Amino acid sequence: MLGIKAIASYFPQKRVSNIDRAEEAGKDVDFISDKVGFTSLLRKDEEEETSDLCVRAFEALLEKETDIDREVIDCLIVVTQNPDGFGLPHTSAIVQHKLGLSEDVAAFDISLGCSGFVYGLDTIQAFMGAQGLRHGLLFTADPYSKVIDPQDYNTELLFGDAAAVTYIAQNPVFASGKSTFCTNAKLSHSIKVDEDTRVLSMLGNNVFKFAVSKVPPQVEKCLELNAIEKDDVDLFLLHQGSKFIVDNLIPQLSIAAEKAPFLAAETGNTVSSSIPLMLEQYFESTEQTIVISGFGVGLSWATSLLKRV
Amino acid sequence: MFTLDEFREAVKAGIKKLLKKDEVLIADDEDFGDYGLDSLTGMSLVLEVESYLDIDLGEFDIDDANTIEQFFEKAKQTIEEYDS
Repeated sequence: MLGIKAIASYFPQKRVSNIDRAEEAGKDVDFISDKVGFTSLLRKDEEEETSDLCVRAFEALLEKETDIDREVIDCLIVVTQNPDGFGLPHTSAIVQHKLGLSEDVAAFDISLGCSGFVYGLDTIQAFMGAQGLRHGLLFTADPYSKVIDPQDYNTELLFGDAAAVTYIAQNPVFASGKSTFCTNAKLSHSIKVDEDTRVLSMLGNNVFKFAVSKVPPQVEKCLELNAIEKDDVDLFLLHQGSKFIVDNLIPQLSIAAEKAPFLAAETGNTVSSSIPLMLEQYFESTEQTIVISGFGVGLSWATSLLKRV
Repeated sequence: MFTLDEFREAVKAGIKKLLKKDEVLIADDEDFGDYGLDSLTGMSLVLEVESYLDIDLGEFDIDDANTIEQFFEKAKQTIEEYDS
């Protein structure tokens, strides 16, 4: 059975303090720490490319899983909407080269934002299963610092740069259950990069309303598909869009707050990496059944279930 | 369509819930910010009012409707635009 064998991540060294610039942003410190939730944000170096973040995450994976042989990697996916250069060639091909992997690798990108990890996880496992592949790497790396206007505090205080790599192989630690996927492009303008300015804009009110109205029913549907009761779920790893969104999803989901942690205070919203970054923290713990739910750009939302094997 | 009285009741019920207050004494022209609501709580207030009145305000932005009066007028206009 294929599944998640290991997860590793890369955090750039540079951090930007939201607390230090609260006044400049016209926000109260309490508002930033208690509501927005991101006290600091990770920032990549300017010259660091998306593929470099992936390479660093892979190096971290090698430190954890010392028996991984680069020669046996046969599938590589990068989930990003901020690729190297202008996206041509695809970032996964660049990562394949930088990692020194063999030519016998299926490598492709997936263009998704905050729902990208859930989509990517199902995609890589289905693809590998169908083609008899045995060792896959699912990268999530979406450095929004490439498209953020530093003067726009609606977005500048939210997003952090990071990367995660999820190693897919036989004898996994986590196996995936059934997933649910939804899209509503009528509201796609709610999070977008302007064609002319190449800068991100976000309608926070739309994103908030979308998250609290669409995610809870999707989670319910996913539980139903997997024939799992809510009480039997140990952990709900919800995309870390902001503390405010997570805090508002908890009562909508009728779950205990400790089951849906907010763990991104010092990283920021790392887009498709937010779920694997959390999952990495719980990898060696005792939680058996975990719901993962990503939602954002598209608008796109996806929920799945993971069971410890 | 809702009346100002119904809308006021909905807003006050929302504020009561969001700010965990026993009683809400806010004038129709009092700024939500002065009453303790920030921009994020304002987003929640829109959802509370929608739920209370069973309406959908669509892509409603409360940022430029900072009082009950302004919120009511903008909500009324939004509903009328949807209906027409």
